[in-house]
This record gives sequence, structure tokens and C-alpha cells, in this order.
Amino acid sequence: MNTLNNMYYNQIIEILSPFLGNIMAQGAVMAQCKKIGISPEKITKGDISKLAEGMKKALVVFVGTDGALSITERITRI
Amino acid sequence: MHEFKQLKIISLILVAFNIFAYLLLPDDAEMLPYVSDLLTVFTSLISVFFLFRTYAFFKVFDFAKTAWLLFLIGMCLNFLAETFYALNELVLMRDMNEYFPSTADIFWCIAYLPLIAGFLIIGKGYRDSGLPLGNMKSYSLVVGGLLVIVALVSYFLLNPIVTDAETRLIEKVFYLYYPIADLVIVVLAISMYYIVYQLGKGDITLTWKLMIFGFLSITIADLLYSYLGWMERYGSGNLIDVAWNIGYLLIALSAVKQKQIMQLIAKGGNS
Repeated sequence: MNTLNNMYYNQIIEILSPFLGNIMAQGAVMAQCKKIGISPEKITKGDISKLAEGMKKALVVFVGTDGALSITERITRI
Repeated sequence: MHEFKQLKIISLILVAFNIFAYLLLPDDAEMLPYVSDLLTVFTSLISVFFLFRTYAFFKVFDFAKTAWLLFLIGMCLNFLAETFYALNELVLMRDMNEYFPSTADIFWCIAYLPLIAGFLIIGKGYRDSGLPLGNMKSYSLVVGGLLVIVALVSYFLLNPIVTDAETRLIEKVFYLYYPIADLVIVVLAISMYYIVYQLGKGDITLTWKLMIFGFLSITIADLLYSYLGWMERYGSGNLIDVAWNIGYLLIALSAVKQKQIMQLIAKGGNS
């Protein structure tokens, strides 16, 4: 698994990887970071809820809204 | 025992039984049509059962649940088609090579619509999700491959049917409908496979790979059946039946895996 020197990034990847796969999880986080205008190395506690909201859309495709909410809640609890 | 593992074992037993029955029974065996028809009724029912359980597990009626509902409706229609086919052949003793198109064909034809819609909804959902869509080079390869498939099917199947003066118009319509609808399914399934391929390893990937290969197995059988049926060379005990059964069972396994993932998430665990 590719890790960056950012605790929040690594923890988000750890939560998402089992569902999206490691490569896609990284891609998804990077895409969301780009959307909110930050780099993955600079994710802060304050960015988590915005990133989680973006992740929800990605996860709904594969696990439905209830599953997506459950996973994103785990992300927001980081 | 794990439900997925149980169904995998049952599937292997059913497929092995199918293959051995066809290899060991003589072509004119009385039992052959019963094995042929009832097995596909049974395997399609299995897919309906597990698709229903998965569909019912989604709590929120979002597009994901809608897609699974459409797959369920499609499979229900396939099950009804298989049942009517069995009824016509086994109870009413009709020669299904002559009795074409039959009631079963109407259900099969309608079944494609919700299945195609299901794939389109998932595809749209993925496109709107913000997840990476892949690169142009890969898409070009996929499109190139699909064009080859379309060209081959058109040349070997569609064109001969269209130009065959001995086939009635109503028969031509159905003989053409099936491979065209199957090609649409192949295009959607391969596109979905490309999306899933980007996900790498994981249970979600497995769910969709099972679903995709299930539909591909069914469509390959359909295309071969279209050709053999038009040539009046399809009969009970043809090994292409195995592909239908494998297809239904793979779709059932996909549904079980999907439900398993959602159950695990609901419990707060990792997939």
C-alpha cells in the first residue's frame, strides 16, 4: 500500500481500501482532495468531513447509501 | 458454513451434474430434455432467490438499489421464460425448433430491458461518483475489441439471418433481436469490467466480476443458441446449456457476495 507522510490520508486509505481496492481508494482520495483544493499530504482534521462527503458518492455505487454512510461515518471519526 | 462457500459448492455440483449428464446420456435419452430444461429453471430460480435477498437488504431506495432491482426483474423474467420453455417442451410436447417464437421468447426478449437498464444506472452512478474513469488508451483498446466482436457477430450471425429467404419475418425479428440485445449486454459488461479492473483486488471487485462473467456466460450461450436455433441444430443436451446454468449461478454468487459486503459494513467490520 502506498502511504504518504500524512496520518489522515493513511487512515482514510485504510478504511476505504477493503471496499474500493488500494489503487482506487488512493485515486478517490486524490480526486476529492483536488476538488476541495488541497494536496493529500496536507489533509487536516478540518478537511475530513468534506472528504468524507465526497467519498460517499463514490461508495454509494457499490454499497448503497446506507453502506456508504456507515463507511464515511468511520472516516469522520478519525 | 459461509453462505458464499455453500453456494459455490452447490454450483460446482450442479454444473458437474449438468456436464456429466450430457456426456453420459445418449442423444435420444428420454431423460435428456428433462435434465436440460429443469436444470435451467432451477438455476435461474436460484439467481432470482439470491438477487431478491440482496435487493431487500438495501435500506435506502437509491440508484444502487434500483440497479439491483432491475437485475432481479430481469432474472425473474428469465426464470419465467425458462419455465414456459420447459412447459412447452415437457408438458405440451412441442418441438421447440418448430414452435418459435414461443411465449418463452417474449419473456426472454423483455428481460434484456431491465438488465440493460441496470448496467446503465450503475455506469451512470460510477461516472457521477468522481472516481477515476481510466485513460483514453485503455478505452481505445476496449472499444477496438468490442468492434471486433460486433463485426464477427454481424458477419457470422446477423447477415446470414437477414439474407436467409427461407426464414419467416417474425422468426427473423426474434433471431436478430437476441444477438443484438446480447451484443449490448456484452458491451455494457465489458465496460463494467474495465471499471472494476481499476478497483484492483477486493470483495467489491469480486461481486462485479461474478456478475459480469455471469452475464457474459449467458450471452455467449445465447449467441450460440441463436446460430444453432436458426440452423435448426439446437436440441436438448447441447453443451451450451451449461453456459446458461453457469451464468445464472455466477449471478447468484455475485448477489450473495454483495449482501455479505453490506452485512459486514452494517456490523462495522472491514470487507
